[in-house]
Amino acid sequence: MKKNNTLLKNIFNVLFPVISALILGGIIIATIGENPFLTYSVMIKKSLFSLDGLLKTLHFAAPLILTGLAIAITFKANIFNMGVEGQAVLGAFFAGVVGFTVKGLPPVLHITLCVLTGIVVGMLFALIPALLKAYFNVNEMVVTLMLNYVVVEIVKFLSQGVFKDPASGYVSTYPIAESAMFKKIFGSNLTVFFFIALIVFGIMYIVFNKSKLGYEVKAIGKNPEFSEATGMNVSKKIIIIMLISGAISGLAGAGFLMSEKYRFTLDFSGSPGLGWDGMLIALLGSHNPVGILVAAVFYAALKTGSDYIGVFTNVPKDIVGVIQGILILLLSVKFFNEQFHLFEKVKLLWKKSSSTDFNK
Amino acid sequence: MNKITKKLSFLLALIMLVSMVFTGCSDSKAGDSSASSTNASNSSSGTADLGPGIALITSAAGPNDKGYNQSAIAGLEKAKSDLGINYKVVETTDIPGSLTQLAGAGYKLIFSLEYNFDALIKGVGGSKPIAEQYPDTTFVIFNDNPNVNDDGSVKHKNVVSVLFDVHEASFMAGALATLVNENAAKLFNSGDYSFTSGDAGRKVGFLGGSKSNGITVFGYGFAEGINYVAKELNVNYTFYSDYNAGFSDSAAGATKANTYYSDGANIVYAVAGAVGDGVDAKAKEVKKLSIEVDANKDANQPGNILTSVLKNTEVPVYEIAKNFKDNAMDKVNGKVLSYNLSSGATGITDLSVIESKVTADGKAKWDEIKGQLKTISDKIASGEIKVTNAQAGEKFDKAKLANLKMPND
Repeated sequence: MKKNNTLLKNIFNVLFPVISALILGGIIIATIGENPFLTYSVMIKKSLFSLDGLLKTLHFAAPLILTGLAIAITFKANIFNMGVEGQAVLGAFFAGVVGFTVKGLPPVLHITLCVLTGIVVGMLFALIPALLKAYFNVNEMVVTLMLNYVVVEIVKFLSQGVFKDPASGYVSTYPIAESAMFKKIFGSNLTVFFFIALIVFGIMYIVFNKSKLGYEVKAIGKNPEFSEATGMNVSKKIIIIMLISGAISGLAGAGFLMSEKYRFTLDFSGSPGLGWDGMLIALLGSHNPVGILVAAVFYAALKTGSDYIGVFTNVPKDIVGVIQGILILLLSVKFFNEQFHLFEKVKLLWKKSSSTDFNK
Repeated sequence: MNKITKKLSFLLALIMLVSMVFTGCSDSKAGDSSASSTNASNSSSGTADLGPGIALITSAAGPNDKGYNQSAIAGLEKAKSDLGINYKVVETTDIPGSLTQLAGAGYKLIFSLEYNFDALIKGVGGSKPIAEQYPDTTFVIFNDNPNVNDDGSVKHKNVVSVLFDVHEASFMAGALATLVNENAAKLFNSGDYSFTSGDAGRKVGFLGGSKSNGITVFGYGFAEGINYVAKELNVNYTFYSDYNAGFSDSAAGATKANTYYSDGANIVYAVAGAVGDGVDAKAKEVKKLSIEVDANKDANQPGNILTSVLKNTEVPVYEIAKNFKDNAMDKVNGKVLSYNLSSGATGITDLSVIESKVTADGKAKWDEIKGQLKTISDKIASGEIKVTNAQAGEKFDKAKLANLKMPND
């Protein structure tokens, strides 16, 4: 019965912000004179209840599942890796570089090489804040956050310079070779990358729930000093956690490049980028792998759905941005509540004031 | 605990109810509306092959960018009122996905203003090019011509490439800028402007959104225009450029422009979307001049915008729409439509806004300048002046510009 209750609570946690955001978004759609039900039905039907749309949604969910997991593992240890975005972009960039410079490899080998490049670059880039945090106790939130801007400038410099495709009218690297592209399965949007994401999800599920590392992550998250006192090497664990996070981020970026974008452009990650979306997804999924999987698919449906809205209704696609914004707002309320127990405090205040009222 | 489960079950029931309402409503309504829209388009057009009309995918700048996208939509609006063709504007980040969606939904003419051609022309990830998947749909792309094989033959019959000779328009702007800069004291009331005179003022600034062919084509044409006039007048100019201005930060644009202005430059040219707004505002503040791009924005800061280098997407959009209506798509299919100065789709504005600031004494000089510009544009048309077209992949050699220094290009 207890377990059932927490499950219900989890469902509530995911659904409440989503439903509220959709209702608020619906009100906005209604005020601009369009039919919210029609809009949502187009969005949901096309992105989840048609085979083509569903496969497209899953395709776009793949990198989001990964960035969500990358963030969740650090948040669970109470380390805030805000640099998932940068790690993904940098991983993608160098995976792309390997994708167009190396030629003549058989596809399987070439794809593996590119993916590994992405993973290694992501890990190396996550190593900087990890070392600073573990040995010098430098605030990782600040370092990772600021390094994102460093990445933006680095890739901008490289893609306007040495790796620039001179034939292209805009800033872009060369397209990756055919052999480095994840092939679309049966003409749908889905590629093998989605299944790689699922495998990583499976591994992370086991790591989170069944492994010693998962337990240690939780322990560090709850109380690092106590974990240290029980004989855990916390510094080493922090580095490992950050490396895992960086590796998954790099994989997310590399996979997205090789299954969707095929060349690096300055708007590669979109806005908000893969990493920021991943943060939202990790929050929505309460940092638990299954929750993240569901949240990522939902979020991808919202994203692909927004394109269908543009094509099949007169509602501007910005409405999806509004819904995402409301979602973030609601989630941050939840986040703050978890951290500072706002609701309890408000309740307490209210109780106090009401009790004084009675005394009057 | 009992309370919680009660609340939750109530909530879940509510959710189910809401979702039922959603799907219930949607089924009938979606069906209705699609049916009615097809009926409407069939009855209004009379001919069957117009389908649902024309679709247009905007570039990242969006439909209200006061330039490139907005003029294209103006072309569609004109096509709607003149020719009665419905249109649909789509804003998206997933260009290939939207192209497929629109073609699948029966649109027979689709304009795509974004640079994103791989999936359309080449096909990616092992799938066929979108142009091949939908052979009955004409796709119109802008600013580039990727639709050629290595041997120069046309790849897809149903793709149209639209190119603007903006290098020539930019050349005109460069020539105008130099002529005005040299004669500023004669042309304008000294109270209205505070130009830096003499050699210290023989400087021009250029702000580009990114270091790519689509932007450098403007900068190089501009530089060559300045050099051309400077050579005739036997003076030397300095050309400051910054190709990292981005397309959105107008405040940063104002700051960068100000460094040029305070260094002595009298004219700054911005090819960087909304960044230009900041440059115009700064020009007004320091009483100097700026040059705008894409649409005619001369009246945004009257008297402080010298001219706008036009890239008027309205013209090709309307022309192609007309062919579409007349069932004459054969005329354009598979072709490269190139718009030069004489087409009216590119060039500089008629200068009427800045002309109102010219003093009575300066009128004669002003007419002389306009005459010189006419000569230059004729020389470009006849091929006597050759302007580097970076967009077509031509190499720019700054060493050839004898009267222009480009210290940071």
